[in-house]
Amino acid sequence: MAELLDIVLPALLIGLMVSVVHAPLGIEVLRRGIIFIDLAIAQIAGLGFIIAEVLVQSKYIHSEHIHTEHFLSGFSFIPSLGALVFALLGGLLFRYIEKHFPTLQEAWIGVFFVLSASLSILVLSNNPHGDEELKHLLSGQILFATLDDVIFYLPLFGGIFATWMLVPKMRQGLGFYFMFALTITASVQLIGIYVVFASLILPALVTFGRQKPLLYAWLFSSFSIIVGVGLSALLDAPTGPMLVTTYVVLGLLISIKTVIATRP
Amino acid sequence: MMKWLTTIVFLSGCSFNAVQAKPFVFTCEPEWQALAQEIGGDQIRVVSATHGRQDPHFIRVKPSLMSQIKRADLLICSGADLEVGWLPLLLRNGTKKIQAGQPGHVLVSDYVTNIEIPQVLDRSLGDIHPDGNPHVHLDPQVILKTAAIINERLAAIDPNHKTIYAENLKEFESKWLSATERWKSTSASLAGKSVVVQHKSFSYLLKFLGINVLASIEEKPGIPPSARHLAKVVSIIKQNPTLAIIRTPFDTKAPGDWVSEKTGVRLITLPYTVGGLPDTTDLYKIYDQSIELLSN
Repeated sequence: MAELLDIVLPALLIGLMVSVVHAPLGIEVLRRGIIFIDLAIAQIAGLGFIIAEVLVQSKYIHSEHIHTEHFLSGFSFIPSLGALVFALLGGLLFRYIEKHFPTLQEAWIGVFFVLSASLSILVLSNNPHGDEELKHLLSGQILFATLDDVIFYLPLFGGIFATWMLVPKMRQGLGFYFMFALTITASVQLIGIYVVFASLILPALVTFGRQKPLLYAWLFSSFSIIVGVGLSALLDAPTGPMLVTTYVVLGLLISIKTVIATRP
Repeated sequence: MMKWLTTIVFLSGCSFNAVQAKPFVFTCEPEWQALAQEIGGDQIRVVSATHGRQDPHFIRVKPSLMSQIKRADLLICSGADLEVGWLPLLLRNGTKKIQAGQPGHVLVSDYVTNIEIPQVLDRSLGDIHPDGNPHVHLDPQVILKTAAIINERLAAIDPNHKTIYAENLKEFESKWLSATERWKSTSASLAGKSVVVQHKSFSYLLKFLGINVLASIEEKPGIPPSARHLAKVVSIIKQNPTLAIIRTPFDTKAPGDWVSEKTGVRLITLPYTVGGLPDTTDLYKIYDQSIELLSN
């Protein structure tokens, strides 16, 4: 039992750390009605990662340089930087669309989501490990995380969280897109695109219209992470998909309860 | 109450440790698991990260996998970038003794000469696998060589049982050598024939059997082939007598089906590794079944 805990503890901590920041961001995303922005930014970040990697690989032919230096502990500096740069540019793009085409914003976000996904395949079509790159980038492998990763990313997530709570001005305009891009670039590499989506949208959905939505979003998210990781350990199931399923099932249960409770 | 609890925990901890005395071998693919089993027998515990119907390029990460890598005394993988998408990440959580450079870290490709090493490393040529083809287990000589390495490493980890390992190795070697001769004779009629492959998974086997590869349909795993490439493959088949189109159990169905339908050449699924097809229960069966399927 202690061994199981040892295995899932880093995943648990990463999940909790990410969910703290995702809760307020998700509420904002839902409020603005731009649900797919997280998928789009994650995919754009992925494209940036891949392009940077290909550019570096053309200098250092031997693939070992890139693959043994992986992104989880930040050693693969240039591709991670590429991911961040692209994500920030994506943020700028979406801010521009919000300003000039507010009613069509969601549609355009979807467009850039599929565009970056397709460009990623095109860029990788000459890479012998193309499919693996894409898959690992987006599926994230939360179980691979170590305690070192928790320590490495704590300042980043802590900083974003502090800024969001203490500097309300950053929640509007370009500030929002900037912080969002920064967060998603980091979290998608840690937990994968589907868990990112679930941890952003589900807590916001479940607490929509409530008093103190943020507090309940944190409670719901933390609970889902603990249950999800716990179930994956008990059932020996892949943790990412288990987390998504847990988020949704728990979210539905709570929503049903609310619907029943508020029936006239 | 607490006293009982402590006693139970202590005793279960003890029995856990007693079981742990067996060397724990972590392999990336089922072929190495099977081989380690041949040499180690009942003296070892051996697991495989992937099973026969899975593509070894990818891994499904479950808590049990993490638990296994944290207990491993010996790691055996194919290497040459086959597992590069996941092994480095997995190893971050592994024991010290299986890290690169340690005797417990065995990448088979480090000990054999890979084929299909590109002469010129130039990205514009497309598929660059600098270390050559990683699917080395499909060469009977590689299996022999790896068996000897496994024996050597197990003897170092567990000297108490080194005579048993050595005996197992000797027995395996003689069985394998006579099987190799058998395969050479039963496959004689296949030499000189040509095939089309879905992906370059079978290069070593085909080289052993003397079969020529005309083309491969899906050069990069997971990236769909372009229209031009498919047209080229079809035209090559039309101009050359083709024995079959071959693929692994885990290759996607569509590309092979399409080419087979267009050209009328039969499509066969070879086991590729232990557990690939329902009857592929050991290393010998991989070769037996492959020769049989190709010959019919």
